[in-house]
Amino acid sequence: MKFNKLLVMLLAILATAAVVSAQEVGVDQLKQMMEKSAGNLTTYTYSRSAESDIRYSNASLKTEFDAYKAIDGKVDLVNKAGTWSSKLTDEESRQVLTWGGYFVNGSEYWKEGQNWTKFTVNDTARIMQDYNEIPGQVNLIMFSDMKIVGSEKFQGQDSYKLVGSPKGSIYDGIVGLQLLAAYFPAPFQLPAKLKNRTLDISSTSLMNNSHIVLTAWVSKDKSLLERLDINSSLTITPKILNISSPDFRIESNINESTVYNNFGSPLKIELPKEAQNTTYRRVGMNWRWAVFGSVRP
Amino acid sequence: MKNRLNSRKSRLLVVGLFIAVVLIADVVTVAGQGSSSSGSDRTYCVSTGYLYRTTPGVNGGQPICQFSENSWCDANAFATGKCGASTSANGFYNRYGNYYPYFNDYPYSSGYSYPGQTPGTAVDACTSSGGTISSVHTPYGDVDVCKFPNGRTMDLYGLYNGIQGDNWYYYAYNFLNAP
Repeated sequence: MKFNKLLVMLLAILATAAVVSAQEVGVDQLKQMMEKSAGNLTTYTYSRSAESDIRYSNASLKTEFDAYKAIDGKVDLVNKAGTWSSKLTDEESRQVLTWGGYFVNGSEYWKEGQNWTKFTVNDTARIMQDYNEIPGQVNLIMFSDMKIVGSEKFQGQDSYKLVGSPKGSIYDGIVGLQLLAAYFPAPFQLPAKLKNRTLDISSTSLMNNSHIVLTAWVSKDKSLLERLDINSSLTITPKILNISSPDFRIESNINESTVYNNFGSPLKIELPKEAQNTTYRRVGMNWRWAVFGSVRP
Repeated sequence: MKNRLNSRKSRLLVVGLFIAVVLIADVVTVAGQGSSSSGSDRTYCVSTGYLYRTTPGVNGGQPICQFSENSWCDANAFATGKCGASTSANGFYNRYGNYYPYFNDYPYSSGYSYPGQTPGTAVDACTSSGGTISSVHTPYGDVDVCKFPNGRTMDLYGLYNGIQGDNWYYYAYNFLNAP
């Protein structure tokens, strides 16, 4: 009997220790430390994968648009250099669109397919900001309600695992983006209220028919963001949008995962020789961010 | 009389042949120019900010200039002004023929985003209120918000238009419709 009691007490102590260990820091404190660490980075690499599935149906049709995007990048904040390469695959047609970017010696170069162009750069600091991926992701966590749900080893590092969801305005923004992105490859007409921008998103049930879950892994020793997953889903029907229209249904899911590596390691970012003799570009969007469905391979 | 008619016919034939030769020569010249101008078509396409591509099954395998979203033009036709981003200036059609309009009244791209230009009103409004611009990641690209000293955040569109509250929805329109 005594032995049993002792065992129960021991287990209780162990369980308490595990909880305390998971809560070594408060989430706000961890966020601040993570923000500080992101501001002191020198070099790192990252890999991002994202998958978008959009299903469309109404009384007479059923179709879908599935796309996969993979991005690899290197960032050297000391030498003000960066590079990324991106590949967008239409999973139905298997067509692929590849493109990449280099920022070296104060100049930016893009490779679209096999074609290189040089971008006229006036504000190098701004371009470097674009290449520096981590602060934007850290800010997303900063503007989200997160909870530390435990500790895990991630890539050999003791890490805190955080789960949460973006706060109001950020949440609305992502839902708004996902709503419109879902319409771009749609077989349905864009509703008039979306076309003329009179749809009041707060008068819809979009927030009740969407879910955005963020899962982050942050290293315990240096408070560095090691991985961020974003899982966002949205259902659209005339009833949800509060519009009068023949019935239809759109289900959109996007799952993105970014993994960071090689913090502080020496990086080699060299512009390929074939990029030297290129044509100049004046303006253009960063096709790396081509929205799923709006740019097809 | 018959000889005279034959002589006229012969002259007409010679003139006809001459015209035909000139026309053929012209066509050959134009065709030659077409193939040699593919480099400048590409330059024109990319320098105006679009994507120059050749895809089997699209445009008979001939180069296209792809605009934002899904619309495109034959690259040479775009370079020579025969078609253009005019279709994409006000919107674009998706593969089902559904039309999506563009809305380009957001000050972000003309002010803050593009280097070397005067910061837009929205950015001024943010910083003059003691706020700072923060770039926030979304799966659809990073977007900028203004964070005020009291911790509140607001999108730049709302600041620019003097609208209280968050207007991310409008921002989304403009962001998706960039550049």
